[in-house]
Amino acid sequence: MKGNNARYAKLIIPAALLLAVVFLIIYVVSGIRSTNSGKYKYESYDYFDTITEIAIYDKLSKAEEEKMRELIDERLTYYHRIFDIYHNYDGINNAKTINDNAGNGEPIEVPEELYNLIQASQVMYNQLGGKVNIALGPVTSIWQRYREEGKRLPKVTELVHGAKNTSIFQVLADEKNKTVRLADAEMSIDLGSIAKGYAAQLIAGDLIDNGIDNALISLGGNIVAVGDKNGEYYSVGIEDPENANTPKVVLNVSNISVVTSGDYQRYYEVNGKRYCHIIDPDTLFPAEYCRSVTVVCPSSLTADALATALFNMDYESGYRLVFGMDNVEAMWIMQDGTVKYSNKFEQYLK
Amino acid sequence: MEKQKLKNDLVLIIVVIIVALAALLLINLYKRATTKDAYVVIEVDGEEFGRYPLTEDMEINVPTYNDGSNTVVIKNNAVSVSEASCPDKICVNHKEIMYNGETIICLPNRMTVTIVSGEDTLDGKTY
Repeated sequence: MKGNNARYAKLIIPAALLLAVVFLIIYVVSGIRSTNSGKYKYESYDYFDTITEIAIYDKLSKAEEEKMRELIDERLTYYHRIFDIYHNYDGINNAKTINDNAGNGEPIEVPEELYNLIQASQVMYNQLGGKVNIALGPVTSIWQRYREEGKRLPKVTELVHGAKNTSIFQVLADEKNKTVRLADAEMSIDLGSIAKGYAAQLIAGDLIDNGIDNALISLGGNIVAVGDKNGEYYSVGIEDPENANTPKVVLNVSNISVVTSGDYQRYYEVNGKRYCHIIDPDTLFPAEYCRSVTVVCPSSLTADALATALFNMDYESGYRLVFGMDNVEAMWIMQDGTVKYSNKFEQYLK
Repeated sequence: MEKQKLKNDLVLIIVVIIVALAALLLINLYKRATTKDAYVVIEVDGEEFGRYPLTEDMEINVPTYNDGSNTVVIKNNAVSVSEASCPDKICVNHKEIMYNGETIICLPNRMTVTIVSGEDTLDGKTY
């Protein structure tokens, strides 16, 4: 009996030590796991009048994180400047330079990214039935003025007058010299419907060029999913126009972009009626077919332009348009809150 | 012999206490770890009313079942119900909740307040 007890007593100390070691291992392992999923987060309010959030899921050292932050800041500053229609910047010709020189006959040499965006917008104008028009500047600027004032609606005569000089075919782009010229002095371009989508795509390219494999980029809700999240899908919520706290629908995505156009982000109300910032080039008024349209497709630029175009047309026309495109799906939130999907959208539902 | 037995019992008791404390510590660590980036989810009559970050102090007035109302307070990473129209006030008297999985329920007003881990919440949002 005594011998047994002594043996137990001897065993207890190693057993306790063993237990301690096991707990230590569990603790350390759980610690490692939490640092692994601890991603690098970039956040800025400085660009495109919106919030930019970039989460990088690759493992980065402190020095690499700093390098990424500098890279993203530098690129975003550049894209913000070249697509800006409100400010001039030393040493670069941007969208405002093009507008400033409208009608004076002088072709403006522009940065490659700006040239490519303008050229792409002309191609998409034809594909999307004229429902996204970067030359709509004279009309969108009228709406913006009234929206900022927040009391009245623009007069129809005023809008029609503005619409006289909104032909995208009078935006003269010269492929060889990378120049752009607006044929008439009353013309102006407004890149609002596509610049964020394109900038998000360019940033994704910059990150990939710098060795990043997995990142989720959100430029004011224009989302580009690069790679995946530690082997899993990114879950991306589509905002409910009635309740910003709870997403209407949650998507599982990887290696794709997701863009939404809705009437609830920028708008003003006159006599209790909502007038949003997206203007239908055909009616010159904000479209009222639905509350929002979300587009999922590989190109963030296409997604941005298409979301705007679909917002400006009825669901049936939009469904047909999306049906005819490869790798493009869309989701509509209708005025009554119901949700409609394009043919194969449901593959993305979480 | 009796002395030896007593000694062994003591050792056993101490080891049991150490193991229990270690387990407690681990459970706590786990709770804390999974409560990182957590959200406070408020549901009324089975439908989600709203979702709020646990880290942001705020007061939320929740219109609940049968024209009732509850006031949910998030303060210093803890959640409590400060006011309620219900007769029993169980939700108001409930101690504040801080960790993943904890819940306050107001049965008469059909409201639940739950802390959910940030792990399964969204990575991004399109709007």
